Amino acid sequence: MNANLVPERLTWPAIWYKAEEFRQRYVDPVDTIPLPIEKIIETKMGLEIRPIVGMKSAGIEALLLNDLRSIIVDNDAYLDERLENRFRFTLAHELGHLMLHPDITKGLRYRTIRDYINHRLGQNTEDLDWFERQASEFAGRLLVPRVQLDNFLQLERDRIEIYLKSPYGSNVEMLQVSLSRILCDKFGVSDKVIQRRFISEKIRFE
Amino acid sequence: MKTFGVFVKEVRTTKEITLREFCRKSWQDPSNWSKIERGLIPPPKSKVALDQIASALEIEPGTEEFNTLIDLAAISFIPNELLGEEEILEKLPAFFRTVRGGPPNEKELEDLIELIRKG
Repeated sequence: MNANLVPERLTWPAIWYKAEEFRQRYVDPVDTIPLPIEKIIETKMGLEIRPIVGMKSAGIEALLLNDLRSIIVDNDAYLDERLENRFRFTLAHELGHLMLHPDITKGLRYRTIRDYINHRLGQNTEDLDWFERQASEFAGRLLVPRVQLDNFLQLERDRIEIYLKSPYGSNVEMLQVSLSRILCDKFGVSDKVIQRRFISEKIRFE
Repeated sequence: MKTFGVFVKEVRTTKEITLREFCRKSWQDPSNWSKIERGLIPPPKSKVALDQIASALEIEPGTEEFNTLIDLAAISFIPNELLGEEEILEKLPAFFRTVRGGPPNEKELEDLIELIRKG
């Protein structure tokens, strides 16, 4: 009988440290952006990316198999160049599970398929959501390292100053949206990921 | 003896060629190619396809690697069996992202297991 899946309440800085450790170990040069994530997964880590037809129709975007050797993705999403940035985040998210939750994964044993389904359906949704949020935080920090983000914001300093002095200056959210659209392609992520970084990292613009 | 799929994957990863790069250069579908590397479906036999594969793997015609590639493609193919229940149970994921964001329901889980089984 498998116990309930309960996440360790990792702090964001603890997760950021893991993301930086990952870069130190697998990324050369360590500050490379956009991160060549497929090359790292396949050739540095020796993992398999396995595109499967019909994953999205089954409602699943991506997953890490429990043998911790293969990441399964939807074949159409893999082939769609318009989704490239989103797809990179998806892979980084699965790496987040691999780096943050391997002990949870290794501890699971099922006797039958029905056992698995019942165990999965019996989990606390809030706890499962914590696992996902932790993996996403890892992915965000891995793809958008803080040092490079600060460097790019410094380059946009004049634009930020002008905005802050404008009649809209108190609307920080609008500034975040505008900057995220400028910066997202530099990191190979969606603008939503950059906006999330501003919030998670508590970045202030004054 | 190595299979065609194992040989190609070894060459590909040794030369740091990703699945995406390889499939783009050789005009292969990634989902099918992944099955070929895992021995679930037979390798291509046509000269054109094998030449494209060799080129994508940066293998020069007439070399030992080229001859191995052609020889392994010609060997009669015995497919690896689809995963049995025991193997599936070892691989079923603890976590995964659904397209709609929340945890999967029973139907999604059943569909997912079938997709993993078929590879």
